[in-house]
Amino acid sequence: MNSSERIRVVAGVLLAGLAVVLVGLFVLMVVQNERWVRRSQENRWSFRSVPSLRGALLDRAGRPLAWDEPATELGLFYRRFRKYQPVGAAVHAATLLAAWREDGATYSYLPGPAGPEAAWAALLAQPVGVLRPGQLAKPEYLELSTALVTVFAHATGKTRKATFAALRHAAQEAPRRPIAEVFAAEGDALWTAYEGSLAALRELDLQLQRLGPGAALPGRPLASLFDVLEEQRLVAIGLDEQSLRAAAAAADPDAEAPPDDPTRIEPQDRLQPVAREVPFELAAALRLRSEEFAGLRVQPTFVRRNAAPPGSSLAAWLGAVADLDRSMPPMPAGPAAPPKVAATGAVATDAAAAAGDAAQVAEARAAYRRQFAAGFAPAEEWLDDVVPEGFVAAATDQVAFQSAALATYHEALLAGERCGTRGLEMAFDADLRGRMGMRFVERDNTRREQQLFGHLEVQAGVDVQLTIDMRLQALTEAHLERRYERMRLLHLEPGDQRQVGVAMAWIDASTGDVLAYGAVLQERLVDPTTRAKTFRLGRTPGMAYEGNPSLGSVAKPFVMIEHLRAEALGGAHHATAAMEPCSGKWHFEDGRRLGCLKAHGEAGRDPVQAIAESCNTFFFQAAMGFGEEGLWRAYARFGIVDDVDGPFAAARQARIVGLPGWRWTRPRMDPASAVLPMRGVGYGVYALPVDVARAYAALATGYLPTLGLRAGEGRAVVPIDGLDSERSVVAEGLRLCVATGTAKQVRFPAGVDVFGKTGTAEVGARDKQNNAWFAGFVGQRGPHGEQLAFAAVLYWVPHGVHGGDEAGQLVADVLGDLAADPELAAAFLAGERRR
Amino acid sequence: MSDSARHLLASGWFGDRARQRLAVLRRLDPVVLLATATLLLCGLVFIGSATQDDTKFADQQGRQALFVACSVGIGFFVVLVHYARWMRAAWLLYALVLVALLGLPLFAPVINGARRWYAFPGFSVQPSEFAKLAVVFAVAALLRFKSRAHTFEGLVVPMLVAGVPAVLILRQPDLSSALVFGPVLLAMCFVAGAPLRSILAVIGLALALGVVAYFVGLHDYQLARIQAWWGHWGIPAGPIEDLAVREMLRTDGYQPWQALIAMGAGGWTGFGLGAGPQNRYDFLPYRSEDYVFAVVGEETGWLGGLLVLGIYFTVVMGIFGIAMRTRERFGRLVCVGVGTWLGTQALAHVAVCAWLVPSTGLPMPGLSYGGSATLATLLGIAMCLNIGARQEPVLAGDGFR
Repeated sequence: MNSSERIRVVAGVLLAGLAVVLVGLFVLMVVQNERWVRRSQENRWSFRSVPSLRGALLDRAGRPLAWDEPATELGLFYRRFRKYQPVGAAVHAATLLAAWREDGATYSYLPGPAGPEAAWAALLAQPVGVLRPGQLAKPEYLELSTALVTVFAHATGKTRKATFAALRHAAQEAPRRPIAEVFAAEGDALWTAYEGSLAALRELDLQLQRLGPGAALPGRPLASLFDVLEEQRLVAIGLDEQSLRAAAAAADPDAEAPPDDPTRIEPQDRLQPVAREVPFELAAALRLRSEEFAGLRVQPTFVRRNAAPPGSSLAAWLGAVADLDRSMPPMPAGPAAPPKVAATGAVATDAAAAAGDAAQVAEARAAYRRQFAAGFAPAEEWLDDVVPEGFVAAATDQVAFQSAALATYHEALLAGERCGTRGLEMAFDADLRGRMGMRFVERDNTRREQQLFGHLEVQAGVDVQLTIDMRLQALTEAHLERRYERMRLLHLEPGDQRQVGVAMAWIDASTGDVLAYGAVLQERLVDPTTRAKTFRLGRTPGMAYEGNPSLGSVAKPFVMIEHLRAEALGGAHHATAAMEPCSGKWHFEDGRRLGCLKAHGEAGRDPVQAIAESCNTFFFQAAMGFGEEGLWRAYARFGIVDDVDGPFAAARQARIVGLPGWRWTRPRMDPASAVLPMRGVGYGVYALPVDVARAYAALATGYLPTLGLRAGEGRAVVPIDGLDSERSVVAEGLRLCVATGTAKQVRFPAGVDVFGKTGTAEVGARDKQNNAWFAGFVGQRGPHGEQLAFAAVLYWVPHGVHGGDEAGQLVADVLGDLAADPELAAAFLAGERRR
Repeated sequence: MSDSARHLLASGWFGDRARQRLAVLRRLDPVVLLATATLLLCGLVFIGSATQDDTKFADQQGRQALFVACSVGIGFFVVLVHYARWMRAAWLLYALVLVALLGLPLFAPVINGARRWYAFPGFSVQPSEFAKLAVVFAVAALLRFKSRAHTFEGLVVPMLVAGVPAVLILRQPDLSSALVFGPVLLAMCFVAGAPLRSILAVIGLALALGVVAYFVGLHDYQLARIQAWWGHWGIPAGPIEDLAVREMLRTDGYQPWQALIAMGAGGWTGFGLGAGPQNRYDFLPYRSEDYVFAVVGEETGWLGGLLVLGIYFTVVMGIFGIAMRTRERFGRLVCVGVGTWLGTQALAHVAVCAWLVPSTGLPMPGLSYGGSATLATLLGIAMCLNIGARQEPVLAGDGFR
C-alpha cells in the first residue's frame, strides 16, 4: 500500500466517522425529534401560580376586622437542609451512621449529649472506610456521601468535588482512618468552621424568637427554627406522628387505630413554615447567605391580620385561615386506602403487596387531592384560557399540557391558597376567598418570564361587611371579662368557679343585625379519637352553656303576652281579676307550694307590676290558666322555643351564619325538667342570649327580626300581629322594672331609656347558685332607625346574686360607656325616642 | 539608494522578490481557501447567535472576529514563507510549546479547576492548542526520512514526541486535548509507512491503557462524566421518575443533557438563527465554545448541521487532497496531521454535542469561540495551503515508496 492509498485510508476512516455521526444525528434530530421537542418545552414552558388576595372582613362602619397584608415568611425544605446545610448534614450523617452500626443512637439539633456537637464528634471519629463501594446500599451511600461532602467541604473550604475525591481516596487507601485524619491538615479550622455554622443557626433562632409572637406559627408562643428542625428530624427518622400513634396502638391493642392520611406530600419535600412575617432585613440577610442556610427559604406571602385582641371573643368569632393543604380533611378509608400501620410501627413488609399498595395509595392520594382542589376552581372554568385550544399541534400534547396545568394548579392551590377554617372566616369563605391566578409562560434558565402564552386572571376575594360594631363589641367584651372575674371570685369552691360563665348579645331590634356578642364560657372539647371530654375556657360567641341555662324571669314578658291575649280573645286562661294576691308562696291544689321573691300582695295581680316586680305568683297562675298549649304558644311566638312544624315555624330563627354551628343550641323547653307553673317563670326554658335579645326586639318593634351577621342583606321579619296593646302593657312593665322594680338599683346612664327585665333562675343544688339574666331594649333609636336590644347572662353565680344586681349592672355599664362614646351614641342613641 | 533601502529590498519583502513571494497566493487551493473562509464566517454567525443578549459573553463575536483577523494576518505571513523554512523551525516550535506547557503549573491561574491558560491583559493563551500544531510539525520532521518510518524507532520516537506534550496536557488536566494526539500520530505514522499491524498493536495497547485508566487513573469528574454518559442511555422517552437519574441530569450530566435537548429539538431545519430556546434562554452553558455545534443543530436542524459538517469536511478533504498531490514527505505528513487533527476534533465535538461519547471540553476548530484554537487551526490550514501552493518537484519519485 503506497502512501497515497494510505492517505485515502485515513480519509476514508474520517469519512466513515462522519457518516456514523451523521446517522447518529439523524436518529436524534429527525427520528426522535418529538421526544426532544417535548423535553425542550418542559425546560422552558412553565405554569406559574399567582396567589390571590383574600377579602377583608369589615365591621358595620367599614372598619377592617380581618385583612390580608403582604409579608415575607421563612420556610424550611428539610430534605435540602439536611443535605446541604453543614449542621443538618452532620446530624443526618451521624444518625445514618448510627443506624448503619445499629447502635440505636439518633442525633438531635437541640443541645445535649446527642446534640449537634456530638454528631460532629461522631463524624470525625467515624472510619472513612464506610464510603468504600459495597459497604452501604446505593440510596444510603448517596445520602451519606452527600451529607459528608457538605459537612467537610464547608469545614475545609474545599470544593465539593475535591472533598468527595479526598474522602473516596482515603476510603480506598486507608479505610480504618478516622475522617478527622483525612482532613488533619485543616487542624482546628474544622471545628471552628462547624461551630461557626452552628452558631449562625442558633443566632438565627434567637433572632426569630426576638421577633415575638407576631412571627410565631399558630399555636406557638414564639417562632423557633430548632423546634421545626426537631419536628422534621423526627418525621425523617420515622418517629413521626403516625409512628407514635402506631406505638400507642401497640400499647393498647383495644384502641381503634386512627386512619392514616396519605393525602399529604412528604413533609420533607414541602416548604414547612418556620416563621411568619420575617422583617425585610432578616429576609434579605437570609437570601444573601442562602448557601450558609441551605434549605431555608424566604418567600413573599400574605399574612392574615385582624383587629381583635388575642384571646378575645372577637378573635374567636373571626376565626382563622389555613392553606388548603392543611385544611383538607383526611382521605376517607376505602378500597384504595393505605395499608394499616402494623403494631410495631412498620408498614406491612410483604414486598409485592406493599409495592402494589403503594402505587394504589399514591394514585388514590393524587386523585383525592385533585378532587379536593377541583372543588375550589373547576377546571372547565379556566383550563382553556391557560392552555388555549390548538396551542400545540398534537392533540396528545395538548392533553398532556392541560394535565400538567391542572396538576400544577391543584398543587399550588393546595399549598398556597387559604380558606377559612373557623368562625366568620369560614362562614363567609366563599366570598372572602379569591381565585388563584395562573400564567402559562416561557421562561429562561434563570426563571425569568420571556413570553406569556395564556393566563387565568387572579381574582381577589370580596370584602364582607359585617353587622358587628367593633367598638360596641370591645365594650361588651371588656365588661364581660371584668364581670366574669368578679363572679368567679365570689365563689369559694374551685368547682363552682369553673362553672361560672358570662355572655351578652346586642342586636339591632329593627333589622336583626347582631351588633356585638361576647362570651366567657367553659367549652367542651371531645377528642375525636378517644371521645374523651375535656373543658377549657373559651370565648366564642354563640356557645351553649355546659350546664343548666334556664332563662328564669326574663321569660315572663312572653308568658304575659299570651295571658293577656288569651284573656282578650277568651281562650283558656285564668282571669287576672280572679287571681290570688301574692303572699310570697303559691300552693298547688294538691298541697305542693312554689315560692315567690316576696309577698307582692295586690301588685301580684297587676300585669304591669307583675312584670316590674317579677311576681312569680302571677305567672304560676297564668301558666296554669292557659296550660301547656298556651305556654308553648307564649314562647314559640317569640322564637324562645323551636317550633319546627307548628303554627309559629316562621318565628323560628335559622342558624345564624357565622356563629359556631357545631355548638349551636336551639331554643327549647324541657317539660321533664320543671312543672308547668315553673316553666311559666322560665325554668326548663333554654335559649342563647342572642335568641332572648331577638325576642325582646320583637317586644320593642312588634315584629321578630331575622338575625344575621352580614350587613345590608335582606332578611325576613315576622310580625307579631294584633298584640299591640299587650306589648304596651309589657313595655310599661319593663320600664317600671328599671324604674321601680327589680332593676331599680341598677345605675343606668342618665338620658338612656331602658326597658328591661331581670331574671334569676335558681339552678344549683338546693338553689345555691343562680343564672342571672337581664334582657330588654333601649328606647332611643339611631339615625337610621337602629334600636338596641340586648340580653346578658351570668351563669352559675352565687346565691344572692340576682339578675338585677349583676346582669343589669353589666348592661348598664356597657350602655354607660356607649352613651359616653360619641360615635356609638351617634349611631344608636341619637334618633327618635320611644314614648 | 540608501543602505537601509537596499537592505529592505534585499530582504525579499519588497520589490520584485516580493512580487515573486506574493505569486504563491495565486496558487493557493481555492476550495480549501473558500471553505475555510465560509467556515470562519459560520463560526462568527453561530458565536453571535450563541451570545446574543448575553451580558457575560456579549463581546465574544467581536473578539472572535478580531481573532480571525489576526489569525488570517499571521496565516498570510505563514503562507508567504516557504514551508521548508518552517520545517527547519519545527523543533524550535516544539521546544517552545514544551516550555510553555511546563510553565503552566507555575504561572497559569486555576480556571474551572484546571491550569490551561496563560492570562494576559485582555486575552489568554492556551498552549495545548499550539501543541497540536507543534507535534504535527515535529513528527512530520521526524518521519520525513523514509528510513525511520519503517522501523520500531519510527513508531516509538514519534510516540515519545507526541507523548511528552500529551502527558503535560493531561496533567492540566485536559484529557480530550491530549487524546487528539493519538489519532493524529497514528495517521501520520501510518501514512509515513508504519506497518498496519504495528498501528493496530498501538491501538490495542491504547485501548487496554484506557481500560486501566478508567479504574485507576481518571479524575473523579472524568469518571462522573463517563458514568453520566453511560447512564443516559437508559433514560426513558417519557417522564423521568428515577430520582438518581434526575440528580445526575442536574449535576454531572447537566451540560450534555441540555445539549442533547437542543440538538434533538432541532429537527430537520431547526428553530431558526437566534431562535433556539436552549440557546436563547441560556439552558446550555458555555455553548459558544464546547457546544457550538449544539447551537448549530438547534437553530438550523439536521440539514444545517449537514451543511456545516459538509463545509468542514470540504476543508479536511481538501487538505488530504493537498497531501495526495504533495510528493515531498514533510509537507505531505503535515497535511495528513493537520487534516486528521481537524477532522478528528470536529467529529469528537459533534459526538459530544449529541452525547454519543462522554462529554469533554473540546472546541470545534474554526467554529468555536477561542483565540488560541482559532489561531492554531488557521496556522495549520495556512501551512497546508502553503504546502499545496509550492508543489515542489521531487526528482526521486514518490519519496514514500
